[in-house]
Amino acid sequence: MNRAIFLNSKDTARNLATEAYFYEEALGSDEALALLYVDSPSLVFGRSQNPYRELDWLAAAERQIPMYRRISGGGAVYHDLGNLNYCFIVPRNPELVLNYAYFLEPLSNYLEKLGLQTEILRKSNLYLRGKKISGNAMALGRDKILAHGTVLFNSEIEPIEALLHRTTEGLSVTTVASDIAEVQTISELLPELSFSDFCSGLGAEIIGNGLRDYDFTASGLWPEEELAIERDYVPRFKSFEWNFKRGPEFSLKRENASWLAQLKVKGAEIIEISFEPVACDLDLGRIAQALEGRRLERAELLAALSFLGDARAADFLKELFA
Amino acid sequence: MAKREIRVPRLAPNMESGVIVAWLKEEGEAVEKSDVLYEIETDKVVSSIEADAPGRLAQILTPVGEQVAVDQVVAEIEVD
Repeated sequence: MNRAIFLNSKDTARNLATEAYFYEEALGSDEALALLYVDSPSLVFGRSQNPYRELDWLAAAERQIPMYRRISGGGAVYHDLGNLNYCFIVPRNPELVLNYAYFLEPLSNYLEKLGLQTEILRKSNLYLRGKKISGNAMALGRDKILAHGTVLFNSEIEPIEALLHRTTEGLSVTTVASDIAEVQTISELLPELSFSDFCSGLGAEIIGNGLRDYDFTASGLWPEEELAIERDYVPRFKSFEWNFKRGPEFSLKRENASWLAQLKVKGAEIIEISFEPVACDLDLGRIAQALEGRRLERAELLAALSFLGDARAADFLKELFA
Repeated sequence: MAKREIRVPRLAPNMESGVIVAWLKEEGEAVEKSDVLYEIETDKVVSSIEADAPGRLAQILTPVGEQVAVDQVVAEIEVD
């Protein structure tokens, strides 16, 4: 029996962990699974991305918006309580690799029933009237394909624009860049439709019509599955190691009217930092010494610069990293 | 011991290249058949690439973050 489960949790790390649990171990070789879930406000970035490049991580920390790395590819996305996430996990099939259209059929069919015609652009994104409403990505394993995506129902747009737009000036690193497109919410076009009804409607479409080769039956997580997810998978997705330490070394150059800074970062730690003063009354040598060896994590960096005073330390970090 | 080249597979008909995301084995490490050697990303798909024979990962030729072409040799394995 292929299950369709609407996850109860709004914890992004837990929901990512649930996907990984089924993808990596829990599904039989010929089983398929559909998941629908909603996350609390958070930023989710791709498996190979450098979050320090793709996201305004400092601003995210200031806003207390957590950041998580997922197992699939692609770019960074903002999740909130107005965004619905879907996930299909199916047996590996060469015809389905990179076949985003196949996995987007339930969503596009459902939207068509609501009177909205969509199109797939840039290979993996679903667009409505020229604006993106769904971004998608995949993971391909030994015997499984995972395809998942977001559906912008009535997400806040401002955080998407503020936190995903990131300057790469002065940053040298080779990773996957986010595909930042103009976005649209479905509720702008269907103001009478509630998010709850939208979620139920998509769930009904998946259960009623499935994917082309797979039918689904409504189900829930079993207690032993919840336990295994909590024990074996949630820790990974909440860990600094998984979310931030991965990826190659990168360097960063920043300059302003007061100084020129050069940094090297490896494993999310500042391994080298130097300043050339231009016109500055700060003790840049002391700042460099305080920051060297520190993790790129706002609270830790603020603590390291506490001798500047809270406000000045926060401003300095913004100059350096934002 | 013979050396066997590990080449980037064509995972989809229109795949031409990808970016190495992670090496899951280190140089010198023993490898079993079906162990995941590395992960590669193309068009937002992260794929786990397995070893097709047991041996020892002799050399990694392309580091994480590097763009590689389909059929490019990315590592060598010593096999019995």
